[in-house]
Amino acid sequence: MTPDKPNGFVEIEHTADISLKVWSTTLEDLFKLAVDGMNSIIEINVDNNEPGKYQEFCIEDMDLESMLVSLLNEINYKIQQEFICTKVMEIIVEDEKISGRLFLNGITSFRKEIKAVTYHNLKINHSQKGYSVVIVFDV
Amino acid sequence: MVALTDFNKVSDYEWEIPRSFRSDMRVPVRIFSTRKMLEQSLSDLSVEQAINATTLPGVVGSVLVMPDMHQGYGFPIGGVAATDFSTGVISPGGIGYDINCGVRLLASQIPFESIKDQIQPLVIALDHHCPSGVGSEGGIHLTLTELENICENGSQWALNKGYATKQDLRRTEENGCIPGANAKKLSERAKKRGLPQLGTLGSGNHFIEIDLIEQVFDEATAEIFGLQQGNIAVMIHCGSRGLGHQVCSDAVQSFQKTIHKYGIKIPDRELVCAPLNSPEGQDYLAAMRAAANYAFCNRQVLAHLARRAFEQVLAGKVNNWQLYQVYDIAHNIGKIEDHIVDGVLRKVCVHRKGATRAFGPGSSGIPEEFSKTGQPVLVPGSMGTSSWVLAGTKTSMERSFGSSCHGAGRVMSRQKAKKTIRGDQLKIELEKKGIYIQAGSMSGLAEEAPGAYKDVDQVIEAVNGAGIARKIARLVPLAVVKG
Repeated sequence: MTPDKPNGFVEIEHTADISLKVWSTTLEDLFKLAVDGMNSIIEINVDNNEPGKYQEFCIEDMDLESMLVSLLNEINYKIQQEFICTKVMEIIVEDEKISGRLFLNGITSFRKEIKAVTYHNLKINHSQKGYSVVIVFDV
Repeated sequence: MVALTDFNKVSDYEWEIPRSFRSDMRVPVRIFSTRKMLEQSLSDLSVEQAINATTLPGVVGSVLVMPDMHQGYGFPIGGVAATDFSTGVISPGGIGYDINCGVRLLASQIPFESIKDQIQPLVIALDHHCPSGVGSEGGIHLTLTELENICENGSQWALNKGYATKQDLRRTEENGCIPGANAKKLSERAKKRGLPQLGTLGSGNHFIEIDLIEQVFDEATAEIFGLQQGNIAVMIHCGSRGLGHQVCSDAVQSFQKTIHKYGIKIPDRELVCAPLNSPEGQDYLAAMRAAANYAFCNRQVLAHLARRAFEQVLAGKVNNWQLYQVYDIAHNIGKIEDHIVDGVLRKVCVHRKGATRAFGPGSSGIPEEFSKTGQPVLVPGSMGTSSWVLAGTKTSMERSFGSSCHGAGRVMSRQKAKKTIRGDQLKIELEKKGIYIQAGSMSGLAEEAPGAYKDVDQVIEAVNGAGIARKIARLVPLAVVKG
């Protein structure tokens, strides 16, 4: 957690890949910010001539970390394969399920290719101040 | 944290962390490095990651790390771990997301002096013919049947299509096709990602480079490899693109659940694994081999496109402008091999994560013409520094599961490289040195600046000193296409 801002993300040092620290007062915002952080790493240019659309989503898995990886991998796949940028608009986080609404927009270009979202030392930490996680992306 | 005092010195180029260092270690860690490079490596998590890899069930001998080591995710880059075929596991993270990322070297009989003024047109033609960059798609449009054929037959598909020669296949690790691949074990997403990307370079640290063979250290072996001092060569570095990334992601995700079924405990979830003899392990092995075959074919198609670029620029201007294959090697792979472990011949799964096979003289599985020299080991440096051709040795068979280093190895994060180096400035500086650059992105170029990497010559000194490869030739870059 960084004391000056209650919510945020920041890229931190990693020798070869990309490491992203995300922190938030709520678990819901942690998931949203992780997606925003990944989109920021990829440096996406959204197609502003397109109105975009909403889509419902639901991911079930064994724990929070697995659902986070699944969500990010899903969004990364949409960027690379379907040329679609995704923002999480609403999210409900349960022990073994996340669900909500995404906003999808076309992409004109993106700069960075993320090969995968990894589980390396992945742990969503919870303290009195809120939640934090460090995610390593293979690039 | 691990300190230098935790290591036992085996020799000037080999260091050991004994099994007693941590209670969950099943085998020691052995690092091939100079003392100076080892000290540098302690600044990131690479050694801890190697220690974590020693906890894998069925791991045998030692977990080995090459001098180009650096922090990865789960395994360190430069790591080699062998697991017993009957009782051990296979770990997708120990092979990596870019399955069969590797290097191909094409040589020529073209003296640099005769085409000095053609280097710039050549690199422009290479850039034109070989699609590169983020999200790049190739000019070959595959049907699903063709994709499945490629995944099961590798470069043989390219030979049938006229994109390869018989020599290309003979001079490719596994002849460009690992048996046992099964395209039915690929997810729909993996196949979908593979359809448009055959014959593409991608981005990141992947490249095509025109090199000058600057120095030959062993004339006889160089001649057998097809290398002659003063001539031009082409090096291609890339892998299995989105198809391979998806295969690894699918397995890492699904193994998170199956690992509990087999009661396996690991210190890092990225090391997730399955017993080799389990249905899950066998399914991954078959899918991983399919991705590896796609990668062999991808580099083969890129080699074909590079030949077209050379033909376009040089045909009619110089004699013998053809490019012929020296070798093609994988450096992110899991291979079933026979090795002597503690005096006993055992069948093992060798995980090479940023490490190159370096089979020595007399080894099975290498082309007949290399039976007396050992196989070529291709070690690219960074854009502004040298690359190397080494040969596998008897010592590499005895000490490193027939493995050696794979590159220079990063020392600087991409974030720091972008902050301290400007891509456009770097391009100008390299061009002043006579190295032409075709890059899709200036910030991407800055991330891959020579200063972000270790000194490859020191890496080579370490593997040569340890005896796990020997120097054959040194190449210097003349032009680079970066994704």
